Amino acid sequence: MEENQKLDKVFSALSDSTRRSILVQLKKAPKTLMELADQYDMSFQGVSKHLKVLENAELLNKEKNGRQYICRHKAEMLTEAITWISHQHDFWSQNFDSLDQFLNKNDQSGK
Amino acid sequence: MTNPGNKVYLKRVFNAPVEKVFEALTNPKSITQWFGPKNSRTISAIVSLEVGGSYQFEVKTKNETTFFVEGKYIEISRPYRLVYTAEYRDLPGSPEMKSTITLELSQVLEGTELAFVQELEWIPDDIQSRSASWELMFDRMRDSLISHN
Repeated sequence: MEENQKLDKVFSALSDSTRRSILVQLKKAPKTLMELADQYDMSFQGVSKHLKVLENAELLNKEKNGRQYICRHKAEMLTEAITWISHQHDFWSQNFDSLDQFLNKNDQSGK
Repeated sequence: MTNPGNKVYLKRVFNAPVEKVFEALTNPKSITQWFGPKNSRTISAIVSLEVGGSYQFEVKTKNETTFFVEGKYIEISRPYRLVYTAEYRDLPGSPEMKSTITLELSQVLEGTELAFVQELEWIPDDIQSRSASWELMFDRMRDSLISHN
Protein backbone atom coordinates (compact mmCIF):
# COMPACT_ATOMS: atom_id res chain seq x y z
CA MET A 1 0.00 0.00 0.00
CA GLU A 2 1.18 3.49 -0.68
CA GLU A 3 2.62 5.40 2.29
CA ASN A 4 0.00 8.14 2.04
CA GLN A 5 -2.89 5.73 2.18
CA LYS A 6 -1.31 3.96 5.11
CA LEU A 7 -1.06 7.19 7.05
CA ASP A 8 -4.63 8.15 6.14
CA LYS A 9 -5.74 4.92 7.72
CA VAL A 10 -3.74 5.61 10.85
CA PHE A 11 -5.22 9.07 11.23
CA SER A 12 -8.71 7.92 10.59
CA ALA A 13 -8.29 5.07 13.08
CA LEU A 14 -7.03 7.53 15.68
CA SER A 15 -9.91 9.93 15.16
CA ASP A 16 -12.17 7.86 17.43
CA SER A 17 -11.85 8.16 21.20
CA THR A 18 -12.75 4.51 21.90
CA ARG A 19 -10.06 3.31 19.52
CA ARG A 20 -7.50 5.63 21.09
CA SER A 21 -8.44 4.33 24.48
CA ILE A 22 -8.11 0.73 23.26
CA LEU A 23 -4.60 1.50 22.05
CA VAL A 24 -3.68 3.00 25.39
CA GLN A 25 -4.97 -0.14 27.11
CA LEU A 26 -2.97 -2.35 24.79
CA LYS A 27 0.17 -0.32 25.33
CA LYS A 28 0.02 -1.28 28.97
CA ALA A 29 -0.46 -4.98 28.25
CA PRO A 30 -1.82 -7.29 25.54
CA LYS A 31 -5.46 -8.20 26.06
CA THR A 32 -7.94 -10.72 24.75
CA LEU A 33 -11.01 -9.63 22.83
CA MET A 34 -13.14 -10.66 25.80
CA GLU A 35 -11.19 -8.53 28.24
CA LEU A 36 -11.55 -5.51 25.99
CA ALA A 37 -15.26 -6.05 25.45
CA ASP A 38 -15.80 -6.19 29.22
CA GLN A 39 -13.92 -2.99 29.76
CA TYR A 40 -15.83 -0.93 27.26
CA ASP A 41 -19.35 -1.92 28.17
CA MET A 42 -19.82 -2.66 24.53
CA SER A 43 -20.98 -5.63 22.55
CA PHE A 44 -18.39 -8.11 21.39
CA GLN A 45 -19.20 -7.08 17.82
CA GLY A 46 -18.76 -3.40 18.67
CA VAL A 47 -15.28 -3.91 20.05
CA SER A 48 -14.49 -6.26 17.24
CA LYS A 49 -15.31 -3.54 14.70
CA HIS A 50 -12.99 -1.07 16.38
CA LEU A 51 -10.24 -3.67 16.51
CA LYS A 52 -10.66 -4.34 12.81
CA VAL A 53 -10.11 -0.64 12.05
CA LEU A 54 -6.99 -0.58 14.23
CA GLU A 55 -5.75 -3.77 12.66
CA ASN A 56 -6.24 -2.38 9.15
CA ALA A 57 -4.27 0.68 10.11
CA GLU A 58 -1.52 -1.64 11.35
CA LEU A 59 -1.81 -0.24 14.83
CA LEU A 60 -2.38 -3.63 16.39
CA ASN A 61 -1.74 -7.31 15.91
CA LYS A 62 -4.31 -9.99 16.55
CA GLU A 63 -3.01 -13.46 17.18
CA LYS A 64 -4.84 -16.63 17.95
CA ASN A 65 -4.01 -18.31 21.20
CA GLY A 66 -6.07 -21.47 21.63
CA ARG A 67 -9.68 -20.36 21.35
CA GLN A 68 -8.88 -16.74 22.16
CA TYR A 69 -7.58 -13.82 20.17
CA ILE A 70 -4.91 -11.75 21.85
CA CYS A 71 -4.46 -8.16 20.76
CA ARG A 72 -1.13 -6.44 20.91
CA HIS A 73 -0.25 -2.82 20.27
CA LYS A 74 2.05 -2.21 17.31
CA ALA A 75 4.13 0.93 17.51
CA GLU A 76 5.52 1.27 14.02
CA MET A 77 2.74 3.15 12.27
CA LEU A 78 2.16 5.44 15.20
CA THR A 79 5.78 6.45 15.03
CA GLU A 80 5.28 7.29 11.38
CA ALA A 81 2.36 9.51 12.26
CA ILE A 82 4.46 11.30 14.83
CA THR A 83 7.26 11.76 12.33
CA TRP A 84 4.76 13.53 10.16
CA ILE A 85 4.17 16.07 12.88
CA SER A 86 7.84 16.86 12.99
CA HIS A 87 7.64 17.47 9.24
CA GLN A 88 4.99 20.05 9.99
CA HIS A 89 7.42 21.82 12.23
CA ASP A 90 10.07 21.89 9.51
CA PHE A 91 7.53 23.00 6.93
CA TRP A 92 6.55 26.10 8.89
CA SER A 93 10.03 26.79 10.10
CA GLN A 94 11.20 27.00 6.49
CA ASN A 95 8.22 29.18 5.65
CA PHE A 96 9.19 31.66 8.31
CA ASP A 97 12.77 31.68 7.11
CA SER A 98 11.53 32.90 3.76
CA LEU A 99 9.12 35.34 5.39
CA ASP A 100 12.08 36.77 7.24
CA GLN A 101 14.02 37.16 4.01
CA PHE A 102 11.00 38.69 2.32
CA LEU A 103 10.53 41.27 5.06
CA ASN A 104 14.21 42.19 5.03
CA LYS A 105 14.29 42.48 1.26
CA ASN A 106 11.25 44.75 1.33
CA ASP A 107 12.96 46.90 3.89
CA GLN A 108 16.05 47.44 1.77
CA SER A 109 14.06 48.35 -1.30
CA GLY A 110 13.35 51.48 0.71
CA LYS A 111 9.64 51.35 1.31
CA MET B 1 3.44 24.14 27.25
CA THR B 2 0.87 22.44 29.38
CA ASN B 3 -0.37 20.10 26.70
CA PRO B 4 2.16 19.93 23.91
CA GLY B 5 0.65 16.73 22.50
CA ASN B 6 -0.96 17.52 19.22
CA LYS B 7 0.49 20.97 18.74
CA VAL B 8 3.38 22.41 16.85
CA TYR B 9 4.89 25.56 18.36
CA LEU B 10 7.16 28.08 16.73
CA LYS B 11 8.25 31.51 17.81
CA ARG B 12 10.14 33.97 15.64
CA VAL B 13 11.12 37.59 15.75
CA PHE B 14 11.00 39.57 12.51
CA ASN B 15 12.76 42.82 11.92
CA ALA B 16 9.63 44.69 10.79
CA PRO B 17 6.62 46.46 12.34
CA VAL B 18 3.60 44.38 13.37
CA GLU B 19 1.32 45.77 10.65
CA LYS B 20 3.87 44.90 7.99
CA VAL B 21 4.23 41.32 9.19
CA PHE B 22 0.46 40.92 9.31
CA GLU B 23 0.23 42.27 5.77
CA ALA B 24 2.91 39.81 4.59
CA LEU B 25 0.94 36.95 6.15
CA THR B 26 -2.37 37.87 4.55
CA ASN B 27 -1.78 39.77 1.33
CA PRO B 28 -1.80 37.33 -1.63
CA LYS B 29 0.80 39.37 -3.51
CA SER B 30 3.18 39.08 -0.57
CA ILE B 31 2.34 35.46 0.12
CA THR B 32 3.42 34.34 -3.35
CA GLN B 33 6.79 35.91 -2.65
CA TRP B 34 7.62 34.02 0.52
CA PHE B 35 5.26 31.14 1.23
CA GLY B 36 6.43 27.56 0.72
CA PRO B 37 9.09 25.28 2.12
CA LYS B 38 12.64 25.11 0.79
CA ASN B 39 13.07 24.70 -2.96
CA SER B 40 9.44 25.41 -3.70
CA ARG B 41 7.52 28.47 -4.80
CA THR B 42 3.96 29.61 -4.45
CA ILE B 43 2.46 30.12 -7.89
CA SER B 44 -0.90 31.45 -6.79
CA ALA B 45 -2.59 32.68 -3.63
CA ILE B 46 -6.28 33.43 -3.28
CA VAL B 47 -7.29 35.09 -0.03
CA SER B 48 -10.67 36.20 1.19
CA LEU B 49 -9.64 37.85 4.43
CA GLU B 50 -12.83 37.82 6.45
CA VAL B 51 -14.21 35.58 9.16
CA GLY B 52 -15.50 32.48 7.35
CA GLY B 53 -13.58 33.48 4.22
CA SER B 54 -11.31 30.94 2.49
CA TYR B 55 -7.78 30.97 1.25
CA GLN B 56 -5.86 28.71 -1.07
CA PHE B 57 -2.16 28.68 -1.86
CA GLU B 58 -0.83 26.66 -4.76
CA VAL B 59 2.75 25.57 -4.26
CA LYS B 60 5.12 24.08 -6.83
CA THR B 61 7.91 21.90 -5.48
CA LYS B 62 11.36 21.46 -7.01
CA ASN B 63 10.10 18.28 -8.70
CA GLU B 64 7.48 20.40 -10.44
CA THR B 65 4.65 18.72 -8.57
CA THR B 66 1.94 20.96 -7.23
CA PHE B 67 0.20 20.90 -3.88
CA PHE B 68 -2.33 23.11 -2.17
CA VAL B 69 -2.60 24.58 1.30
CA GLU B 70 -6.11 25.74 1.99
CA GLY B 71 -8.54 26.62 4.74
CA LYS B 72 -10.83 29.19 6.27
CA TYR B 73 -10.29 32.19 8.50
CA ILE B 74 -11.85 31.77 11.91
CA GLU B 75 -10.71 34.89 13.72
CA ILE B 76 -9.10 38.08 12.49
CA SER B 77 -7.90 40.84 14.82
CA ARG B 78 -5.68 42.91 12.64
CA PRO B 79 -2.76 43.14 13.17
CA TYR B 80 -2.35 41.06 16.32
CA ARG B 81 -4.14 37.78 15.91
CA LEU B 82 -5.14 35.43 13.12
CA VAL B 83 -6.79 32.03 13.49
CA TYR B 84 -7.43 29.79 10.50
CA THR B 85 -7.77 26.18 9.49
CA ALA B 86 -5.20 24.53 7.27
CA GLU B 87 -5.31 21.43 5.13
CA TYR B 88 -2.95 20.06 2.54
CA ARG B 89 -4.07 18.66 -0.75
CA ASP B 90 -1.86 16.59 -3.07
CA LEU B 91 1.15 16.98 -0.81
CA PRO B 92 3.29 13.86 -1.17
CA GLY B 93 3.66 12.03 2.12
CA SER B 94 0.85 13.96 3.72
CA PRO B 95 -2.22 12.31 5.12
CA GLU B 96 -5.57 13.99 4.96
CA MET B 97 -5.50 15.91 8.14
CA LYS B 98 -7.03 19.09 9.40
CA SER B 99 -5.33 21.56 11.62
CA THR B 100 -6.01 24.94 13.18
CA ILE B 101 -3.31 27.57 13.15
CA THR B 102 -3.18 30.49 15.56
CA LEU B 103 -0.80 33.35 14.87
CA GLU B 104 -0.17 35.98 17.51
CA LEU B 105 1.89 39.02 16.73
CA SER B 106 3.28 41.41 19.27
CA GLN B 107 5.61 44.34 19.21
CA VAL B 108 9.00 43.72 20.76
CA LEU B 109 12.20 45.74 20.88
CA GLU B 110 13.64 44.05 17.78
CA GLY B 111 10.45 44.31 15.75
CA THR B 112 7.60 41.80 15.76
CA GLU B 113 7.38 38.56 17.61
CA LEU B 114 5.28 35.90 15.91
CA ALA B 115 3.95 33.03 18.01
CA PHE B 116 2.74 30.16 15.86
CA VAL B 117 0.64 27.29 17.17
CA GLN B 118 -0.69 24.55 14.91
CA GLU B 119 -3.15 22.20 16.48
CA LEU B 120 -3.51 18.92 14.65
CA GLU B 121 -6.81 17.21 14.83
CA TRP B 122 -5.94 13.65 15.44
CA ILE B 123 -3.08 12.82 17.77
CA PRO B 124 -4.58 11.66 21.05
CA ASP B 125 -3.09 13.25 24.14
CA ASP B 126 -2.87 10.03 26.09
CA ILE B 127 -0.82 8.24 23.48
CA GLN B 128 1.97 10.58 22.59
CA SER B 129 2.80 11.43 26.16
CA ARG B 130 3.95 7.82 26.42
CA SER B 131 5.87 7.83 23.22
CA ALA B 132 9.61 7.99 23.25
CA SER B 133 9.77 9.29 19.71
CA TRP B 134 7.51 12.13 20.71
CA GLU B 135 10.01 13.13 23.36
CA LEU B 136 12.72 13.00 20.75
CA MET B 137 10.73 15.21 18.45
CA PHE B 138 10.33 17.83 21.11
CA ASP B 139 14.03 17.81 21.79
CA ARG B 140 14.52 18.44 18.13
CA MET B 141 11.94 21.19 18.15
CA ARG B 142 13.58 22.84 21.12
CA ASP B 143 16.94 22.76 19.38
CA SER B 144 15.51 24.30 16.31
CA LEU B 145 13.72 26.98 18.29
CA ILE B 146 16.94 27.88 20.03
CA SER B 147 18.88 28.03 16.82
CA HIS B 148 16.26 30.25 15.21
CA ASN B 149 15.85 32.74 18.00
